[in-house]
Amino acid sequence: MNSLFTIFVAALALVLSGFSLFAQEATAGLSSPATVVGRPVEMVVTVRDARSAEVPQSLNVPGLRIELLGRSTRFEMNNFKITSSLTYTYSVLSQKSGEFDIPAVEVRVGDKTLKTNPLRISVAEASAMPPPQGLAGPPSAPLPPSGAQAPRGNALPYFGEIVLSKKKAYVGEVIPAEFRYFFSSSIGGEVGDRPNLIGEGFTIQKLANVPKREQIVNGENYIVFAFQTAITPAKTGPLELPSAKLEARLQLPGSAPAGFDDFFRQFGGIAPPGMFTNMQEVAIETAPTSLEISPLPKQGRPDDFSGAIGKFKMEATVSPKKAGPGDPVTLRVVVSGQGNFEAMGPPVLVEGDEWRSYPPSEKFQSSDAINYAGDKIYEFLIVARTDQQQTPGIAFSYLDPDTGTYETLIQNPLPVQARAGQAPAKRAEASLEVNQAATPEASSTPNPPLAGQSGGASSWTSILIHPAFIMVNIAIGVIWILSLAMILIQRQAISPSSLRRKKVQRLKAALASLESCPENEFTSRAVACLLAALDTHSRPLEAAVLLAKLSVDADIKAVLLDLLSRDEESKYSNRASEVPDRETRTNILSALKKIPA
Amino acid sequence: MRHSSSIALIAISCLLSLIPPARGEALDQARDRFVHGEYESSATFFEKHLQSSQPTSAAYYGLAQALHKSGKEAEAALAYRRSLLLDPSLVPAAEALKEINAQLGVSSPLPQWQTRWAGKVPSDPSVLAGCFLFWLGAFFLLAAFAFSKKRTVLASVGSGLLLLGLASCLLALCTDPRIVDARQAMVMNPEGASLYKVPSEDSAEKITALGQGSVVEVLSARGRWFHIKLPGGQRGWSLQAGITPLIPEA
Repeated sequence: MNSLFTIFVAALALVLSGFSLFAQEATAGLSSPATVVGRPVEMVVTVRDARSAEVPQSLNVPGLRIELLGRSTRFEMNNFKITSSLTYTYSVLSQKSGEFDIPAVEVRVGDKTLKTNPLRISVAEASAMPPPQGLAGPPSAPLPPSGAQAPRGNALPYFGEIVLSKKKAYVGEVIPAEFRYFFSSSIGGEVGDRPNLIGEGFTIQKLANVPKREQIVNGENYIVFAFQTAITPAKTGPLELPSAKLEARLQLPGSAPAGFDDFFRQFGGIAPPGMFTNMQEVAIETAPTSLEISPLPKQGRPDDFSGAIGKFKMEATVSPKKAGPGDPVTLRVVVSGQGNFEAMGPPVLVEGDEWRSYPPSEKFQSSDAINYAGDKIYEFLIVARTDQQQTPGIAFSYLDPDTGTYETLIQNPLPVQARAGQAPAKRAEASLEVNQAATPEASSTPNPPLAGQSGGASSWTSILIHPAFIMVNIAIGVIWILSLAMILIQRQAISPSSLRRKKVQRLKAALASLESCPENEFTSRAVACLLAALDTHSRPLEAAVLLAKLSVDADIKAVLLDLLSRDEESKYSNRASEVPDRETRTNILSALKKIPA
Repeated sequence: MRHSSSIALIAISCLLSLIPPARGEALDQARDRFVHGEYESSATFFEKHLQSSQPTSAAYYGLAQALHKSGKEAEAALAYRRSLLLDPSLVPAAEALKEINAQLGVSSPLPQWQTRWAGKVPSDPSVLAGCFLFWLGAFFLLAAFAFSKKRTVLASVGSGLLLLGLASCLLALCTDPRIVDARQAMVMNPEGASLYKVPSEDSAEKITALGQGSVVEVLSARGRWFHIKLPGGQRGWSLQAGITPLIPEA
């Protein structure tokens, strides 16, 4: 009983440990990453840990016809955990050559939408495709690794292989290669970063990871970890490539723990295969392989051959089209294709005596991960010795490894209008200096560094915190503030409240002077005060009307109307005006003070 | 108001012509020596020129090239960095600095947006233009306040110019390497430098070692010690000897 409980606990622990290895996911893989026009390949979409899923019937990829062929379900038992995998097989048929990207396939599982990894397939013309042992071909005969255990049937749980694009090459030629490590999709584990390959007589590019993919080999579904690189032979004769080891920790099928066999025998059977697994550290090796390396042919080798081996094409442009006296002209030559870009020399200028030229700058733009294909850009700076209407011609020679013959690409002179003369120092030096910086070792004669004139600042202090700049800004700020103050003062001066205040002040002053004025001037001054208070300057008739509307006591109105009539009388009658007595003056003064401002 | 704008324009123009470029005998000598492959001598003349003239990116670039060819990688890296502080758009200097950093075993950090911006938009002209637009906008707003006619148009134009100018100045403030990297310094000691937890040469308090060519930010100075910050954010103390500020002291 006690031992049974121990077994149960151990089994439970195994079940729990198995959960992390089989999360729900969707992956996609091609039976081959390369094919030819008209030859279909299989694309397999695997959905793990799902009983049902929805996938598109066809995929719309321009240039490819991708149709769903069928579906299968596989159940697996690992550490008591039963997982089901759905496998959807598509047929991928290419209608034209080129590189095609197959986007991620959307898979609906219940409420969730899973996406597979995107894929890329290379399609070559039917005649250009090498036999299946080339880079693109699926492994024809998987190599049995030592100690590998088959999970079911005769399928291998893992194996490695190296795929070379060719078995015969020239010394210095770049040979693309791919190390592939296949792991049965039914096993889990961890895989090392990259394989180790140590050997002599060749150089190898840094290994580039290829996205993990799935591939069907001999009817078995494998997950493929691949690493691309390029091998360059350094000596002639047979070249042995040793095996490349990739380390991994894999969960491989194992035997049942002690006591389990007895447990199952009680029920008259044996433990189901795949129920028990062991974590094992393994080294997956590719098989050693050999190459036949030939020396470069001497026959027909052009004088300007600079070591380029591959297939190339060349384009050239010139700028500017019109150059002033002594101005440099940039001749831009782009050599593109596939080959040993890192080792080859630049093209040569032909019939260039009329031009002064400098070693070109070089820049390589790789279009793949192993620097095998891409564009190499050379920029020649040339200065006309005499007035010129066209640039020198350009020649570039290379060895075509497929035919074993040397080819020379010729670029005819390009039209340009360049005048001879003394180069303006700054521009020419600037261009030459930048050129030199790009290829520090290329120039045999050092160009003088540009100094004294260039872009950029000429002080360690930013102008933003320069004292003079701050002072100028403060001065402008003060001017602005003063201007604003002036405008405010002007606006304040003509505001109604300001005018009213001024009127009140004037009235007070007038009343104050009225109290001490001569008696004979009292009437006229009092009327002036009244008119000012009523804002009817020199319009006494209007004053009477306004006074009638004024909201003051009737007595005050009477006093003020009397004042107006006294004033009229003094102006229009023939007799001298009567001087108001003291009481009348007091009343008038009192009435005037009570007029609201 | 027109008068005020004229004064502002004249002042800005004066600022532009504050620092005329200088070209002296030492510079010609430096260039001549460089052409003849006398790199150490060329570097000496470049330094002489820089001591007597306004610093220019090109002069530091020339100095860096001469030092690089003389085999003085760390000094060349410092000169390249100084060249880039003055002109962040000098691509050859940036490329050469990467190469030297690789030789020195120092990582070249990926350029931040500030560096990319500074490489495309020169700081000082950007400040001048921004300042001009700011004050133009400010005076437009003043005009909108003073005049009742077309007040809305004047206010809109003024606000737009003012904000544009302010943004331009602020952007220059945030991206000018002479301001942003003003506190950076480089480890020039061939043996590198040590970073300590406290300003004491007690080996137990040592945090890490800095290689020659490493760039650090100087937070403060105390006696013969610098309080520094590493690019990863770690702070500590290091001896001042062998650490040279990127912006030379006047």
